[in-house]
Amino acid sequence: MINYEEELKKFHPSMDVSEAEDAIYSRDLTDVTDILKEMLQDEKEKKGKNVR
Amino acid sequence: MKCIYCGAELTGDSFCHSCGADVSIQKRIIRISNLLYNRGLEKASVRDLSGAESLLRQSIKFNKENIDARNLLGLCYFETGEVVSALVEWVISSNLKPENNLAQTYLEDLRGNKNRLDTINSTIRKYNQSIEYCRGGHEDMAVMQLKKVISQNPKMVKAYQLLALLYMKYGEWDRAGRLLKKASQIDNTNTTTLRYLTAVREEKGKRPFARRKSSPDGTEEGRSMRYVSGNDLVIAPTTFRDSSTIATVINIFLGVLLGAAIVWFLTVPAVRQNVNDKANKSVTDANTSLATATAAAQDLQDQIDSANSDADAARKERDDANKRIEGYNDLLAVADLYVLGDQNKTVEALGKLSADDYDGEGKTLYDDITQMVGGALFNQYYTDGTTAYVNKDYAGAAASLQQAVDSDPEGKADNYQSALYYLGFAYYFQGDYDKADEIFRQFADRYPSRAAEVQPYMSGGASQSSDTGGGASQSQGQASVNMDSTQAQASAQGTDQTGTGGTSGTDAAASSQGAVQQGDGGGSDITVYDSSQSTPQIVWTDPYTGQGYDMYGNPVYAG
Repeated sequence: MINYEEELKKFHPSMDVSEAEDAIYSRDLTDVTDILKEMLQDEKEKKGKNVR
Repeated sequence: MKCIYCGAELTGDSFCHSCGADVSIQKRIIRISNLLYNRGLEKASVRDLSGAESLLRQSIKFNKENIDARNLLGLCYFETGEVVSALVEWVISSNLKPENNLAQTYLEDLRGNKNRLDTINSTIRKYNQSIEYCRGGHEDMAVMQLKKVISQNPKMVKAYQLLALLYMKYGEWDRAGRLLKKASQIDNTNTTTLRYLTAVREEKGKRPFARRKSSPDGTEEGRSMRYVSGNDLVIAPTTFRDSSTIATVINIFLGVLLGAAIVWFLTVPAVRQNVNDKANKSVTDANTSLATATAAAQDLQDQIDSANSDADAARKERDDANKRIEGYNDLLAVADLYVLGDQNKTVEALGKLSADDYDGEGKTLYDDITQMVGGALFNQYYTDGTTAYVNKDYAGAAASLQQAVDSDPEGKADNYQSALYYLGFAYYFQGDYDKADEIFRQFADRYPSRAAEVQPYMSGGASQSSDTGGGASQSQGQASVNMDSTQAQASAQGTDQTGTGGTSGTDAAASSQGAVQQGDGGGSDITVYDSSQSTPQIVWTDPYTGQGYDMYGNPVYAG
């Protein structure tokens, strides 16, 4: 059975056109490749510290 | 694809030719992204937009530079009414790849149609307002706003869902079901839509389609599509169906019925009207032709009648002309006889003519001859009449005596009194009492002293109504006949133009009276004038030869 109040909570306001710019700038574009790069970078830094 | 270590362009090998680094992991990540894009494309092609969006979002999580996946994700957003989300994806896509990018085309289309973008933006605001109304308890206002949203942006799935939720709250399950069906036609695996639809079906007592045919493992055979959404396994039908086989048959039957009804109520009347119009036009044309033909036939008939009438008139005119010619010939013959001095034949021939047959000079000639032989003509008729009367030929007697009377309208002839007297009796004995009355009345008026003689026979022969009247009448008739012989003789003598003597009209009346008195004695001996037994009387003397003639035209010789 559908609970109206509960279901209503699942509906959220949509973005209008004026909010699109903010949405674009605030979009997190990090992907798996970026994570991989970051991991490699961290690994490289750790190796450098150990070498010193 | 560029190396994540040095940024150099990678080849098909698993290492970078520039820095020699192993790029197999990078390439595997790219392959996973492409794989997710392919699966998302498959779902989008069957309008499983929710599933496609999920896969495409994962695809660009693995590789944010997967332009096709991002563009397709924007397209899926746009199709479900999430226009701003679509714009975001397409803008990012066009920034990541400024050239040869479909996203730029989409953006240009949207920018080129500012009204459409404004309308979409307006619907988004109204949708947001509707949510506020719902949360504020103003569902009726929300319903109105959502109806406007759907009418302006029919692809906005969330608006359908919210409006359906409101209808479901108020128990309007049918309306909610219809809205959810429309929403499922846009995105047929939207979990919210499917959940609401299931609730509606359960509420309406229908079995949800997800439970129709289940395989042993609990999935629907041949009709389900499984995919992983996060940690959830979503099982969705590939197509949305809301009817059973019976419902399909019923729908087909209703469709056929509706089609037949449309044909019957729209097409058939039009065809029937057309046929009736044609028939009426044919009847009208036929009537017009018939009327024209009838009018022509009537004209011809009129012409024929007119021609026949003219022919009859011409024929009659010809006959009249012939008759007139014949009459004129007879008149000329009479004139010839008169010129030759044969007065008896002149009178005889003149008696056969009628004054009405002539006019102009012919009439003048007739009148002149008649005047010149007038007395003789009267005598001729009188003699014929009395002779016929004696012979009991009352019809002939009446005709001749009538001619005699008519030939002397002024009654100047000596025997006019007797002619009138016998004429009355001639009619009387014929049974023509009216005519007899008329003559007797004329006689009584003209000769009052002798009125008593004819009084008993006037007014329809009243004397015949009594038993003895017939005998009296017969006696009177015999007496009259008896008198007739003497009177005829006297008349012949009276008409003697030589003036050799004869009884006057008064004498004749007296003798007639005596004859009546003698007739009372009975006696049926009728004394008829006989020229062989009596002395012939000269009734006419030829003025040229001096020869005398009796009343029959026989020459009378002296001694």
